[in-house]
Amino acid sequence: MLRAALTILWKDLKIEIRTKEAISAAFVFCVLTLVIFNFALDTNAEEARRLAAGFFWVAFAFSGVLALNRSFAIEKESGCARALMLAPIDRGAIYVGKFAANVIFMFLIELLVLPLFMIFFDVQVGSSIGWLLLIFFLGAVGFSSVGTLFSAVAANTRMRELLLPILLLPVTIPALIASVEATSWALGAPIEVSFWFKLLVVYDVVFVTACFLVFEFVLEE
Amino acid sequence: MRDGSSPALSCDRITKRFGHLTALRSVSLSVSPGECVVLFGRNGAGKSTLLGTASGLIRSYEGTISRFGVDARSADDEDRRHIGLVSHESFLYEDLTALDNLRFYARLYQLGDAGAVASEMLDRFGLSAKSAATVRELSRGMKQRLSLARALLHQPRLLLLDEPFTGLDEPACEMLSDLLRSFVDDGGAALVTTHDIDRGFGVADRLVVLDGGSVVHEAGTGEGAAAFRETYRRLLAES
Amino acid sequence: MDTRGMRRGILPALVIVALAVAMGMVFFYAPVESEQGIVQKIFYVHVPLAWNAFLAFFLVFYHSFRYLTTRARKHDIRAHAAAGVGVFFTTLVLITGPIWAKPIWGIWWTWDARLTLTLVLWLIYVAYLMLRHYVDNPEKRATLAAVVGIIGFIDVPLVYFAIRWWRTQHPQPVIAGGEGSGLDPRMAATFWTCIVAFTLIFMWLYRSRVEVQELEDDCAALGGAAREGSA
Repeated sequence: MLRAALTILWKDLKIEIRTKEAISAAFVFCVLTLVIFNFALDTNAEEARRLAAGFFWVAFAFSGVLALNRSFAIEKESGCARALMLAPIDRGAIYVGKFAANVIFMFLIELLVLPLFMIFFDVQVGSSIGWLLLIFFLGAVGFSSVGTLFSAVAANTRMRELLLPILLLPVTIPALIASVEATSWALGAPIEVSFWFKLLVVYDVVFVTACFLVFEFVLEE
Repeated sequence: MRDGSSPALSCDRITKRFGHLTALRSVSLSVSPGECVVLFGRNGAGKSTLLGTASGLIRSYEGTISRFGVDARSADDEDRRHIGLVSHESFLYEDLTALDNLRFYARLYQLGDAGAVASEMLDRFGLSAKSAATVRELSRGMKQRLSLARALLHQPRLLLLDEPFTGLDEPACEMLSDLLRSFVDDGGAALVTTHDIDRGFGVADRLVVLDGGSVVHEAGTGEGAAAFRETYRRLLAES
Repeated sequence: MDTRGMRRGILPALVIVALAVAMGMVFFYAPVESEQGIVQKIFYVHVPLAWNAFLAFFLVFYHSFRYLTTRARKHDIRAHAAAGVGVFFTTLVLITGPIWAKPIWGIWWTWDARLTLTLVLWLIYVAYLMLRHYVDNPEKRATLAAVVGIIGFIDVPLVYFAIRWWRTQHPQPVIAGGEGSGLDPRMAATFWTCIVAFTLIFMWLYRSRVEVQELEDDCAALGGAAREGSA
């Protein structure tokens, strides 16, 4: 199972390395969102700095959806999803492989946007970089866990680009709230943060498990 | 436990409903190793659905399907190793190279040295020159050849082909027919669906006609063939 | 008059009676609350609606789960019906909330914990209904919807905790007070009567939707059989 999952992960990474479609689209979209936020309010102001974490995660959420859309779009094109179903592999490996690829993509997007975010919002990161990376990772895992599943669900419908954000974003609200609060804390806000870390971890564990278990049903015909 | 003398594929009274539409009605069919069975039928007759159940992609149906003596419902992941599927979909990743596509499937099917297996297959299908080209860059003919290479990569013993001649040009049809014949001669079992009579006759050992979800005619190739051809042409003309 | 018709009529009759009694109690029996005045009476509608919406979404979860394990059409019908009634009730909660808030707090919306949770639930189940709309194959539709129904419900407690904790850190005015906590006995009696009444309404709407869908299924099946018979 692990080997099959790794093979699928390798395949997704190779495709992305070659085309860079998901990451570049998500990155550009993220920058665009941050720029628009700047017009909505003066992002150098003290107040904006307090809200900065929120803007980061909103930008991430919307651009993440773009990247996730592609995850199963490439499988539906040319019918590859069926070829995967036909292969002598544990079907759960399909979820694990794609989930892992998506976590990597999401994490990369977060890393790419971080420096821009620091510049646009005049935010110092300094010693809290370690915590930030942890939060980014936990957030990426949470978002990708449900995102991979719902990407497969939406790929089976007539309006996948419309349905994926509508399905995914409400369900990821707990993870997004927790990520925003934890990021604010990491950037210096006086927040009682242990609950948020716990919530993120619980969210991740619960949904990776649940999505792994139901994934198989989505691919069946 | 695999019984050497059992049919490669055995469909026993398969019924499949989609909501209120009954796509297959108690269809029974079997394919033995070394035999090519061609399934004729109009559009909507249920051919693709039958192939879907035979391949295991469609999992809810009434009746029993066995592959190499193993009931599909109790089959485990490894039992799928022997199945190959060819359809109008290419099952290729457009943005990967020809070589990477085959390497991916070779790894998935755990075929040993994936790179070597993939290169050898590309060679066999005359695609070595294009091994570094992405599928998107390939011509239609080459894409079709690559698709076939992918289907045969893991040396399946049961090949399911869903309208494989559709959209192929003459040389590609010839190649496919030759491939099928040598596959079957080597002991493979093949089930082909098509509505192209002449091509179908060219590769068939046995002929089955599906209409409205039921088997309406079965025949071996031989003297009955000409009469069969006429019946079938008439059937198509009625639609 | 056939007995089946009579039995089916029991539920609607109960609904009418219960609703009449409940509304009577709300307007004539329950005392007017000292601080908030007559607007507070929305509480008797708002909270039972919310409770039933939650019940509805639990039914979606239950029938989604059963569908995946049995593939029986009846579970798909019930999950869909429950989601529809649930969204309807949730919409009413979202409407009555602001109606209550405006006279008391002067603003329409305060991101109060319960109301925000309701809004998120509304989003999750509206997405469920939209998903169903955009899948053509009935089996696929049932399966995909069931998956979403299960994941959506699992999310509910997490959303609840996230919002509640966030609210304690960013306090704002609360709408609708605590349910049944420290209520004058007449208010408590009215409240519980309303709970019963709205639950009956829910059951009646749910049952109606299930029946309509089953009838539609039967018609389509007859139509299909007729077509095949004549072919």
